[in-house]
This record gives sequence, structure tokens and C-alpha cells, in this order.
Amino acid sequence: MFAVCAKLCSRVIARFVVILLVTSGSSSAQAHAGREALGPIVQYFQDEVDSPRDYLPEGNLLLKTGIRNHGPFLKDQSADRIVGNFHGRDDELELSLQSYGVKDNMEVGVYFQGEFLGYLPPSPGSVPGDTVIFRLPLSAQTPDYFNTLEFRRRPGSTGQWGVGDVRLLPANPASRRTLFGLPVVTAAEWNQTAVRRVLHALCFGSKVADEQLDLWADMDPVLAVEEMVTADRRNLKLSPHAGDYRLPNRALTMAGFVDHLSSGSASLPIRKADRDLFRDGFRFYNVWPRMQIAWGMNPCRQRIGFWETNYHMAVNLRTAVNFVQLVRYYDLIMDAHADGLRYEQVVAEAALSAAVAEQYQHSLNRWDPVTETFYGNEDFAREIHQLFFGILGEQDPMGPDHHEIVTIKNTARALTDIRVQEDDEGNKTGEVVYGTEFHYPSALPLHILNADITGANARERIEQLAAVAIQHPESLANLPVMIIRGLMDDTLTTDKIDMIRTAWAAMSEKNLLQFIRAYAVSTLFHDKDSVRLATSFDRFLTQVNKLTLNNNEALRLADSLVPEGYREDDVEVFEPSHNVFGAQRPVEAADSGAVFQSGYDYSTRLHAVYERTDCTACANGRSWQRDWTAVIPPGPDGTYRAEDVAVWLWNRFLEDGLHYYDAFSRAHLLALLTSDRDLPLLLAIRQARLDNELPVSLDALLSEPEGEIDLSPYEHILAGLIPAELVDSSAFKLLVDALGETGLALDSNDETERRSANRRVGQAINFILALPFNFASGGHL
Amino acid sequence: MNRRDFLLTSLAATLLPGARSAWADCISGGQPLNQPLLAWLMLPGGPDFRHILPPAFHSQVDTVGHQYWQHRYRSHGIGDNPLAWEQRWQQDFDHRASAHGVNFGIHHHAGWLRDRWDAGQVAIICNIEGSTSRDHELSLRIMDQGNLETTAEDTERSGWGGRLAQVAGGNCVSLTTVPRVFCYGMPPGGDINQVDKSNLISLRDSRKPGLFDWDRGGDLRSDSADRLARSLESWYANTRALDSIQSDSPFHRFMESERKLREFGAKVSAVTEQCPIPPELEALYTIDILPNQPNPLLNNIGFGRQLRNLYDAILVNQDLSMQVCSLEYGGWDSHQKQKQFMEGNILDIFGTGRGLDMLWRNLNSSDRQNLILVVGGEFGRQLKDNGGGGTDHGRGNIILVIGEQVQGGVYGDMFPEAELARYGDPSPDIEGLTAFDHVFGQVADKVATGSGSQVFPLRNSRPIEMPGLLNNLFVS
Repeated sequence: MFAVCAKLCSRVIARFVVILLVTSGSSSAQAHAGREALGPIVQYFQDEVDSPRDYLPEGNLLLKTGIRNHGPFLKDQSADRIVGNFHGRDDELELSLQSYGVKDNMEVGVYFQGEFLGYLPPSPGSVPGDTVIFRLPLSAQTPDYFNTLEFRRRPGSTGQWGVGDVRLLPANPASRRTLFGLPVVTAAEWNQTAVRRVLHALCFGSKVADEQLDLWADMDPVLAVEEMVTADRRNLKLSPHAGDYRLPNRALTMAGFVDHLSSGSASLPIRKADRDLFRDGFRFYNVWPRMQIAWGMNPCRQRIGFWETNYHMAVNLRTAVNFVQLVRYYDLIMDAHADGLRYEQVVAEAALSAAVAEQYQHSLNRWDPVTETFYGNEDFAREIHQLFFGILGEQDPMGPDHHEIVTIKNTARALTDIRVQEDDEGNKTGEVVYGTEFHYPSALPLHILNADITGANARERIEQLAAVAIQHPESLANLPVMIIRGLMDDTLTTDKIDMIRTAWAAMSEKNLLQFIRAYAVSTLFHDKDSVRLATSFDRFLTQVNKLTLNNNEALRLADSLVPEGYREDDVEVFEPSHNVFGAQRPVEAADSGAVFQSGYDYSTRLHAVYERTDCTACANGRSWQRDWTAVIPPGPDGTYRAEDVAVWLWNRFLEDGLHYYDAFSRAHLLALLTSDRDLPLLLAIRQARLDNELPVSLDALLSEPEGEIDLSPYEHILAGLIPAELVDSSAFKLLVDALGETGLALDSNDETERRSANRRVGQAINFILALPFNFASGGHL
Repeated sequence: MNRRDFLLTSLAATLLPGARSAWADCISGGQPLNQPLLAWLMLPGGPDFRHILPPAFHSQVDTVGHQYWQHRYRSHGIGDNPLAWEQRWQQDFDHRASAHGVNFGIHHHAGWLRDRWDAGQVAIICNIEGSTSRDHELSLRIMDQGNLETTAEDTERSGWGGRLAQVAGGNCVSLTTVPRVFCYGMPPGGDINQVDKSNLISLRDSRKPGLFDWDRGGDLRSDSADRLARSLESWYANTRALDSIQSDSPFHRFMESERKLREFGAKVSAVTEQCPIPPELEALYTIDILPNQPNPLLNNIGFGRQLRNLYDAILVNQDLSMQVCSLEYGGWDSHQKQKQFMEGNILDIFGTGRGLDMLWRNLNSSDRQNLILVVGGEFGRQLKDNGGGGTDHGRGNIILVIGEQVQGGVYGDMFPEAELARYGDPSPDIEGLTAFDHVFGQVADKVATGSGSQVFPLRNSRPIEMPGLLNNLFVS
């Protein structure tokens, strides 16, 4: 008997095993082009009784890296054996897989070349069991010939069962790859869950299609993240065109988007009467959320832009900054990122903008050449160092007071004669002229950060200062931590911080995108202890990205879907609650009972927002209907089985890889998906009918009319804790399984049925969104 | 009596000067404070207390009373001449003197503060070392944590309010939009550099304190909101029973939020549903409540809501086990237009007929007797204003302690003569002579006898302007 290793130790294996997955099939082979292949392997399992097509997706590929549909791959009830062959190799292998429908821990045995390896762990229904790994020693293999794997079910067992996500992995790892010194996840560690986690953190989940998700999960993680995390104005892989309204190229910047929303375009799905206020009225605040959730844009660009302008280099529309300046600021920063500018160049552009000059009012700073006196404030002179570059001055070799009385004061002088331009009507614009008349004398260098900063105007000096600041020891130590903490990870340990700093220092030219991409494929980010807490913005934007299925919906209904949601938490975009120190922080949201409360409220009292299925003449004269079949895949028979839809929804809205999808979650979801009776109510009715000696079939439970039975004696079931004996009963399991087998009429020809089914999907989504797992996300390695 | 009639009939009484509010007695379930309650009001941004508590103008050039005005005329928005300085001093400040004869003013916008001073209930504690730095972020953290050892990387440490509540055996109730670090407790064992949030209660909206609940007497089969509420209540209850999300899980805090909202929300609702909001408090953040008054009364309506929350929290203080609570009012980083912004803020908080005054009027005698209000920011401002009509960051500052059990007066040298020599320095500021540990430690001891040394374990090694300075901060 060979060694068997269940989930508990699989994590340990994964840590030191660098695995290049066995690949097969054309798409997979393409995706792994350039990587070391393990040689030919026959990649099919063969059912000795039936055709493989009976239970394997797309015919015959199961031993395949990143298999498109990870299951469940179910056998019919009569089969008790699954057999697969592969070409033996000249090195030791590991077999990794998940089981489905295995009822106890001795039901299904695993055999290699006829020898028993161990049993598959139990796994309820179509929820996969934990991943298990079996070692296939070299001595047991027959090189370059058929080697046989078998899964044998105990005779007499009943019910559907199967295996999925089957992978063959080399047992002896090569050295783990690194990127800027950060350890990169292996192909085995890079999967759909990992892709979702990156998108969750850096792209508000995005609008990625399942097929694209699979492609990225199959790709080299470094290459995949390069495709995912960009600052380009469009990223159709992240956010493809959907529905009948495509945003034109001119609408892809914030300035262009504002113009477009305010335009008279006949095809824009927004009522014309609503458009005027997008430009500079209260609806301006609803522009950016639309940019984020609209199809055909780039949600990663907006996510990074949001962090840059609301956290890292925050400006605030409640101060002197106006809409025009804010729009210019946002586009300026994100176009600089898209153009690949070094980070200090991006930061310098931001620092020299009209928005920042108005925010901190150093547009009033001037040097009087007659009296040789400085007039102005030191606000931004301090914060450009602290907030933009992470320099507190604590490690100034000349002492901390030197930072106060030399660096900050001289930076204030470097910021003199920044003239924010006005339009013909006297309104401040986003244009800036860097004057020389009231700038500190160009002949005199300014000693800042222990360097002499020269220049004839503020632009020249700040650009030079930025080049110095980015290499300052405090910036090298703090800025990378600010970036990662700000965008991706709330659990930075000392070890992680050290590695992050080392990685940043290793970049010869600092580039924000390259840096966060490196972290996004690192084991640091995907480690199980890595946690990202969701702000109110994160939560609403991510869930609405997943909810809105086309631009008619996203553009028309954005107000009620997004900003009205996070406004319940007293937050607003471009009005950061900590002013220049940034908007609501993840830990603040997580510690706030009120933020949890409003999220819960959205799922219950305000449930209709996400359950809405249609409207007539709402999108500039057009009607709209929510059609979940646009994204939910049907089963092999073309129907929408509740069990499959529940799993799909969980995966779409949460990124835990079904880790927390337990029996209770499943049961509640299935009840909400299949009926207008929740699980507690169904159980109470069932118990009441039992006590009254009435039939308790699922049909009877669902059709039992109001008032027929007094449920007051069963309030204990309705109000919270379901008795353990009931949960553990076979009747409970049968009931939930029956719910799972129910077909959803998402594609019914009957409009009422179809709407009802789509509404119940919204009902199930509401349930998912009020669970703890929507308020934070974590790594899973 | 419906709510509107209740408001109208009660309004007349509450607006009479000195009239005792009927609101505090509106229900039998109200729970008067029967032990000291600390209410910490954080003023983020670095408030310039000297702007509202300046030295008396003095015509003699080498005096504090002259140098202050000479170097602060721009932040006061007046001309560059002694006549303008004196005029400002005479017109806009009530003149008061400390027991040691230090003459200072209280800005007219702070009428309630002045009245409390005159009643001997305001301690002005000077030359506080609030931070080792002039950086907002770090200094706020240091102040909220009550920990001068905190560095820029120490983001997860306990707050002094949470510690105090814990030692006192109660809870810290956050009345702000999101909880401040101030309310974070420490784990069992008393390591102040660690965090335990189990005694934090977040009460952003005391009039909507709990989770949406299903209609237990209604049609069980028809309403989607009820279905979802029942499902979620069941999921949370059963998940908790199974202990499948344990205390070290990142998701445990949300399980706790659900539990606390359900548990405390019900308690708060039980009382507040019977007790309408006093119109004077409601008018702080709502329009059309009080006739012929600013509408609403406060510029910062969020602060008005916090005061309403405090009022409600006091009504149910025993159910909440509230020992400490946390409020905030932002907007003090006065690099420019200091007069405009700061005096508006001061009016909101300390003005007659405004924030704290309206709260005070609606507390009963027991509540007022036990409420200890501590007001401070993360640091102060520089001695000299800048060219933009504001002031830049300094370090030392003032902390105010207000309450009927407070021994009113000025603690420490309000305007040290030594500052005169530093006006010529770059970036001169108030020198921090007394670590906040001593002030807050005294407050802690008042709330829970003997707690000060647990909440501020390094108190005895911290500097203090003079030994015994704060020994009589409270009336014995």
C-alpha cells in the first residue's frame, strides 16, 4: 500500500512541491507554451461499462490541467468503477483529485496498477470533498506504457458519485520561481480560486466570463496576471462587451465618460432628463461607480485609480478641489500608469496637478523676490513626503528636527508659484502654469531630503525631488508596504513586510503595476493567513460587478445598485472620510457593526434591489429584463439544476473556492433558489405536518397553504437554531437533496415562471451577500 | 399622545432657561448613570486650542500677550497692528483668569464651555505631549492607543478607551461612523500592544440599532425580506452553534457583529422606541425642528447624530455595560483659513444652544454628575501662523476635561515665558511637558478605581510638568 495524504497534509506538500502540471488538450497545451512539459500522458479515464461520454465533460478528458469544468463528474447509479490510464514516467508522481458524492470514508477505494492506495474522503452531494493527494512511486510505475488508475466503489452503494479536478503532478519539485524576490505560486497552486482572489483584490471582481477565468487558471500565473492587471483604458478580457450597448472609445477616460453620460446620444441607456447633472451636479458622484461596473471598460484601471485618488494621493471634493480638476487628476494618473511611467514620475505628475494644489492650497505659496520672504503653508510640503512617498523624516541622518525645519520648509519653497488657471468665466480649471516670477530663486538650490534640488520652477524641482524621494531609505521601506496594504493585504506580518521591501528595492525602475502583479502571484498573497477586509466600496462594487449582466442594467440602474448602497455607510467617492489620509479603511469597515448592519439590511429589508428582474421603458425608452442564463451554464441536459446553480452562484460572488460552502449554506441556498419558502419555514411546516400525520413530500411542503396548520408551536425552528437531531436526520438530507435536484425555470417560455426563477436567483444572491465571507476574503494555500 | 404632539408640548418646557428636560424621564426604562462614564471626544487634525483660549492682549512687546497676537494676527484674520489685536481680544473673547492669575480668553463661540468654566467644571490641562511626531496618522494612532511607544508600523494595538472599559468590566461604545482605535481592548493578560475587540460595541445609529428582523406575527409565506431574514438568522445561529468559524478566523468578527447587533440592538430598541428624541438634540442634525434657529443647528450633522447616540446610549447604559464611549469631530488641520473653519467647529461643539449644550440640557442630574468629557486632538499647532491665514503642525497642546466631578482650573503653565525665546526659531511649537498618560490615567482612575496603572502601565515613568500636578483633577 502506498502512502495516502489527505487535505490536512496536502497543504504541507504544496508548500515544497513545485509542480508543473501535466497538460493535455490543445487549449491547455497552448496556455502552457514555453513551460517544461512532462511528456506524453494518455489523458482519459475509461469506463469499462459505459462510454466515457456518459460522465466526462466534452467526451474524454479528465486528466487535464485546469480542466474547464471542475465537476461534478458524476457516474450514474449503476456504475461502481472509474478507470483511467496514463503513460508511466521516469519520476515519482502525485495524483491530486476531489471526490463527489462519496458517503463514507470506506466507500470508494483508489487503486494504482491494481494496488490499493487508500480511500476517498466523504463528500456530500455535488459539493467537492477536500483535495486529496496520493503518491505514485516510481517503482510502481511502468515507464512509457499504460499505467492504470482505478476508483472502485463498494458494491451495493447507491447514489451518484464521481471524481473531479484530477491532476498528475511531479512529486519532486524544482526550485520555486521568484519575481523580484517574491516566491511565485506554482501551477498547482494557481487555479480558479487564485484567479478570483486576484480579481477580487485588484479589479473589484471584474466582469470576467467563466471561460476566461478558466483560461487564466490554466495559464502561467505570471502571464495571466499581466493580462488581468493593466491600466489600459479597455480590457475586454476582464470586461467584455455585453448586451446591445457598447461604450465608444472616447468614453473610456473619466473626462470622456462624463462627456458621454452627459451627451444627447440616442442609444445611451440613460434617460435624457437625468444626464445634465453628471457633469457637475450631484450625479457626478455616480459617474465613477458607473465606470467601474460598465461592461467594456477596465475595472482594474478603475480600482487602481480609486486607490490612487481616494487613498494614496487623496483629494477631496469637499475642499477647494472642483469636479473638473478631479477628473483631470484621475485621468492624468491612470494614463501615466497605462503609459508605463516610473512610479516617481506618476507621483510627480499627481503632485504637480491642479487638484493637489487646490487641495492643499499651496497654489497660494509664493516667494516675494523683493523682501525675499516665503508666504504660504507647509501642508503639502509635509504630505508629499509622508503620504506620496512614505517619508516621515524619522531616519533623517541629521536628526528628526532636520526634516521639520529644513526638508519641509524647503519643500514649501519648491512648491511656490503654481498657478491654477481659470476659464473665461473665472472658474478654476485643471490646467496649471508653473511660474518663475514668484518661485524660489532658480539660482539657489533647495536642500531637501539631504539633496540639493534645483530648478527654475515648481515642476522642475518636484520632478527632481521625486527622483530623490523614491530612492530615500524611508520611502523604500514604507511605500511598498503602503501599496500592498492599501490594495491587497490586511495581514502584513514582519516577514511579509521584509519580503515586500526587498522586492520593491529589487526593482531597478519602480513600477506600480509590475509590483502589484508580482505580489498578486506570490505565495504571500495566496497564503491562507492572508486576509483582505472589504471596505463598503469594495463590497458594493464587487457584488454589483457580478450582478449586472449588461450595460442597459449597469448604466441605468447603477445609482440604486452601488452608490446608494455605500452611502448608507456614510462614505462617498472622492470625498474621503479621512480627507487626504484616505477614505474608509478596510479595518474600519470590518470593525463597524453599522457597516455590517447596512450590508445585512441590503440583503433583507432592501432585498428587492438585487431581486429586480425587469423594468419597462426604464433605460431611455427601452425595457430591460434580467436573464441569468446569459452567464449561468446549463447542465449537460440543458436544464438548470438547483444544486449546480447554487454552487455556481457561491463561486461567482465569493472567492473561497467553496471552502465555506457547508451543509447549512447549501440547504439555505437551495431552499431560496427553488421556492418562496425558506429553509426554517420548510422545516417548521414539515415538522407540523408530521405531528399532524400529514404527508411530508417536497411538493406537500411547498404547496401547504397559509393557515392550514398552526406553526406557532414551531417557532423555535423558525427563529434561529435548527435542532441538531433534525439536521442530522436522513429526512433533512433527503429534503435538501430533493431541493438540489429541482430544476430552475430560468429559460422557461412562460414569462411568469422565468421571472420568478430569475428573482429567486436574486434571492439566493442576497443570502450569500449577507454572509461573513462577503465582508472579507482570504488566501487558501 | 402622538410623536408630534409630544414634541410640541414638551418643546416649550425644554426651551425655558434652566428648565429640566422632561425627556430624560420619558420612560421608566431609562437607566440613569450611576457611575462615572468617560466620553472621549477626539478632534482629528490637530486643533489649535490657543485660537479659542488665547492669552490676554498686552501692549508690552516682550510679553506673551503681545508676542502671541503679533505672530497670530493672520490666523485670527485681523490686521498687522496692535490696535487690531486688542480689538479682537476685546470683542471676541470672554476674559477669564486662572487661580494663578493667568489671563486668557474664551472665544464667544464657546459659550457652553465658558459656562462650564464659570461653574468650575473645566480643567484646561496645558503642555501635553500628545505625540512624538507631527504626522497626523501616527499621532492620531498614538493618541487613540494612548501609547507613546507606538510607531508607524504598530497599526493593531489596543486603545486606551477599550483598555479602560475592559479593566472596569464593561464595554466601550463607539458612537462614531466607524469605531476608532480608541475603543479596541486588549487581550486577557493585559498586553496593551495587542488587540481584543470583544468589548467594543459599535452604535452608529442608536435609532436603528439592530438587524432587520422578520415579522414574527405576520404571514410567514409571502415576504422575501422575511424569508431572507429568517434564513440568515438561522444560518448565523447554527454556524455559531457548530463553532465552525472560530475566534482566530478572519470572519469571526462578522459573526460577532451579527451577535452584538442582535443582542444589543434589541436592548437599545426596547428603550428608544418608547422615548422620542428630544427636539433640541434632533434639531442638531435635522431641519424644521426648532423655530427661528439655524436649520439644522450644526454644520456637522454627523456630530449631532453622535450626540443623539450618546443620549440614547446613556438611557440604556446599564444594558450596554457602557463604561467608556467615543465621539469625534474632524476638520482641525487649519493650514489655511483657520478663523473660518475653526470657529465654525467650535460653535458646533461648544456653542450655546449647540452640540454639547443641547446634550447637557437633556441629561438628568445623575447623568451630568457622572459624565466625564475629555476633549483633545493628536497634536497642536506652531506658535506662529503661516502665510496662508493658518497654522502648521506643532506638537504640544491642551486637553480639556469637563464634568461636574472635575476640579476646574488651569493645570500647568498656560503660556510659558520660555516660549518667548523660541519665536525666532523655525517651526516653534508648544513644548510637551506632561505626557498624556498622566491625564488619561487620572481619568481612568476616576472611572474605575486603580485602573490607571493598568491602562497606562508606563505612567510613572512619563514626564509631568510638576509632581502632583493632576492629583486633584477631580473633586474628591
